[in-house]
Amino acid sequence: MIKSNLPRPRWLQPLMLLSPTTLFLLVFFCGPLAIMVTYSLLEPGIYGGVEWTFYDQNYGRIFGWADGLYEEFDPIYLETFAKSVRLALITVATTLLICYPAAFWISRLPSRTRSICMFLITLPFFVSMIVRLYAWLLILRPTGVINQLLMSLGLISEPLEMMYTEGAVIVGMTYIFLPFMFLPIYASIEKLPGSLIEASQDLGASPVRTFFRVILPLTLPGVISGAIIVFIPSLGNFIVPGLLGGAKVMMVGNLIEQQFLYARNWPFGAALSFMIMAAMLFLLLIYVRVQSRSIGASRGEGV
Amino acid sequence: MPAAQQTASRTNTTNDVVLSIQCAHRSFKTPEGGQVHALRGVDLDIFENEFVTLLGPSGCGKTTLLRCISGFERLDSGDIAIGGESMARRPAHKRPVNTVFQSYALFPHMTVLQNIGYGLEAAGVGRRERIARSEEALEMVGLGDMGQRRPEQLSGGQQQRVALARAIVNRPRLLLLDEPLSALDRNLRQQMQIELKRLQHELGIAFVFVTHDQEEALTMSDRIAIFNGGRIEQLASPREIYDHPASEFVARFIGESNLFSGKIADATLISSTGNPLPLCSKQLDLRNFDNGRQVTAVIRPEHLHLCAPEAPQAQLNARITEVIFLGTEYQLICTLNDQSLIKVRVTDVNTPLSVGQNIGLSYAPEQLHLIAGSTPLRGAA
Repeated sequence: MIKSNLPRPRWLQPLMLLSPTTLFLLVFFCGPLAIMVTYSLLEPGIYGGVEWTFYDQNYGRIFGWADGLYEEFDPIYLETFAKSVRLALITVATTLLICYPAAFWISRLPSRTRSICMFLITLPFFVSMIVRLYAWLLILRPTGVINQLLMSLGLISEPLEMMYTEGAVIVGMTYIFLPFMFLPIYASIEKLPGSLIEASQDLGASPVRTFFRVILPLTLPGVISGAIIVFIPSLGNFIVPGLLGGAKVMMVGNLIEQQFLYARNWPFGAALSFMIMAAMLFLLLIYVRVQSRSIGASRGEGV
Repeated sequence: MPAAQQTASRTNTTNDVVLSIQCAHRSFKTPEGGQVHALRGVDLDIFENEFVTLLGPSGCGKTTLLRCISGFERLDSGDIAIGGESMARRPAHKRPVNTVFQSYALFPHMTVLQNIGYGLEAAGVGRRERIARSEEALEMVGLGDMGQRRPEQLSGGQQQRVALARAIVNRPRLLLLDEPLSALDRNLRQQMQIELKRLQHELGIAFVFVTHDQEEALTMSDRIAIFNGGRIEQLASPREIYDHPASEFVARFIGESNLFSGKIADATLISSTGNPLPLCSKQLDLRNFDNGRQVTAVIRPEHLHLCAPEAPQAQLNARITEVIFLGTEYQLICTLNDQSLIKVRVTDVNTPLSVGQNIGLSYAPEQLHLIAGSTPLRGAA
């Protein structure tokens, strides 16, 4: 055995320690991403597949520089994207409104009840998402639980149209993404010392002021994390709108699914996907910037 | 600090009651379904410009009482009035008291100055005045140039001072301090004790200080309330509590003491130590203690004097079991005839002392303090 006495550069060590993760991300994240980018700039083949020629018409169809000869610009794609953003934002808002008070309440429970609550929150992860969404179908459809109840009470004479509406999609997405919002908020609320809340009251701050000046700023990192973790999968979701929105409520995810699976236009599907990717990347960059600044601020740098 | 001097000149000791607690009861349910009585009938009046310490072992109810005064806990029955006004229906944020928390509880997302100005901001004080008053308070605790820092950039002692400045800047009627010095090291703690006392004089605010450290209590307080099992055992000046403990618990809790219990017979105490212990007849008359009365006698280790075992003045015979050198004096632990232990302080460090040596002990009868009607407990505490 020959032991090398050569000094190894210091930067190499963390890099080597990180190598399994780095390698995994390189193969399974950067690789497919590169394929998508490349495909989105190629010409679709007539029977599916791609022609290896540069082609900017995929993005043209979305953003408006299509030549109108082979490909046509249609504002429906941008509109669908805008609608997806809107639905995702509403989902973030509804999950936040449900999770913040719930997390606050659960964090103040005695430890036994608290662990039961935490178990109940994570319970849905053990059941297939499709099954859980079909349950909503049974609840919302014209002959479903809600309509039958309301009709038997005589409050309505004919069933409400609840299926295949934006409302149904929002209910479904809120339901699916609740735990994702709950866990980061809960983590940050649990870390908040009760003595800070008492100190605020003691100094004469009303409950409202205490909330906005102490509780909210100190739990904001959890809220932002939760919002991002919910927003990203909501934006690209196609299962919930597929099941609960039907053909009436389409989101970008459904468009992409159609392009890849039914229209077999992979380059156009890739271009649509990349539009979502770009939006998310932009958001994440802002998030990282804000976070690093708040860490810097709490260390007293650059205040 | 011109403003501080102003307040100092204004506050002569007046006999106005700031805080009045009447018959305070509070009990908690335990997870096992039982009940813990944290407070069982506490009466306490605190006067303007007074430094009162609530002293007792952990779980004696002192912190519960403090939290009831600040409004974080409710009383089951009884009343708390501040400045003559009942606080029963007032939430914590509307009470004219401020608290220095044990954990300091500084807001980590605000600068030191923002922390201090928080109470003023809540009270609607304008920005300019807020900053001026915050800076003045910061100056008062000796951290004038730290205003722009974040709490986490300060040492424990500095955080403590910021917490203090944040509480006093609002000029409360009453300042509550919940074991604020317990996290500091010994030197810093002693320094802060002196500083707290100085601040209290300058501000003229009544301080209610909670601690389980008797030294802290003796150093700073005008009066000490000794808590035990949810009741106040004794409320008096440090000197009074040390010299005339009202109960065995107080005698054991404050300072070191030797306790003998027995019956009074002809101005002596008949106890199991063998020798009848002479008592001060003046004290017996004053307190109407007759012959046959069951009492406990307390004597401090420093009031016992060494003499030869056969000497006529020897009131107790003992054998030295342990000799502990304390720098300026020796502490002896001696065994009495009935095998109970007794503590003795010897200030003359030149006396030859060895373990196993037989000695006599004497005392002046007036140094023997009597506590009435005790349970038969005996020996050194």
